[in-house]
Amino acid sequence: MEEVEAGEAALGIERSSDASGDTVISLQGELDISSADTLRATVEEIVAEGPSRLVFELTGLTFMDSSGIAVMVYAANNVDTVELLHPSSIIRRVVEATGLSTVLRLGPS
Amino acid sequence: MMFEAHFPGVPQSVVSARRFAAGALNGVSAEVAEAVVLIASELASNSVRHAASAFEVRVEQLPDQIHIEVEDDGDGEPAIRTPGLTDTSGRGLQIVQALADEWGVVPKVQRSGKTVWVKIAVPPDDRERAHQGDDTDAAPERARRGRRTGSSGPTTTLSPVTGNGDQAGAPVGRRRWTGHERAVVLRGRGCAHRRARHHA
Repeated sequence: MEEVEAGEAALGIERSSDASGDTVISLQGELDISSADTLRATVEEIVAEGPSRLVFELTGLTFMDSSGIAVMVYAANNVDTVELLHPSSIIRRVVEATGLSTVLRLGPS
Repeated sequence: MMFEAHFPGVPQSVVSARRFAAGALNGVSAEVAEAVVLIASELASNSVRHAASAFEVRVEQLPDQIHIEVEDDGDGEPAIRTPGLTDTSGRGLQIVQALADEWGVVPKVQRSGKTVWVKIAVPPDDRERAHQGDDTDAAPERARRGRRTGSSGPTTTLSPVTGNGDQAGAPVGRRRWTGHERAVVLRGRGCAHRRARHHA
């Protein structure tokens, strides 16, 4: 039986601060089961610092499924305010489909 | 045309499954394509995460709807959960349900494993585009990315599925669509039928 070759979800994670000094995680590429653990590790580091606000900048994120949602909910469980900036239409649909738009604040696309 | 491919049960396969699903589509809007890819990703993730199983993905685009199936050898039947706002898991099928017009689970008979199938409608505008697309270079391109399974005739003769009036309610359950039964028949041929190959 022929097997399809395994792929790699490339996820870029970049950490910075916004004008108010809050942490911004900029994501690029695809966030799924194969890349969520890497992001989770980054978020755990940030959560350990006890921030009250965390921003995910999603301009470069082309795909996210429930594995990515899980990491963001973990963040929201540990940080007062979690914002998702510039989500693509599919990411917006995922957040709204899971009823999480009160927990993960969606900024304008 | 039905596209079918086999994937090893590792997280990286979920990426390949998405590419495969996207490549099986023809002329649909970005919105529909995104939904198909997301559904494929969620179902493939479930096979890897819960069943720890290799899995097969089948995608068939009919004139008015798209069928997506993921089959694995894992025990247990996927079920919708209602995670709280703080739960970090249990949202995959919730997303599938939100995007699907209809979906269900068919357990394998007398052995572990199941097929999760999903049906989503193709809006009329997309149908027109897909039809036109068949007269362009798109069809040979897709044929190269994945070969059709079985030796049946035109897809249009294989689609006595539910009518247009069936799309509003989004029922959930064990209902089968006729196309799935065809897939079971195809599988019954064992290795005799061809499988799609896709290089990510």
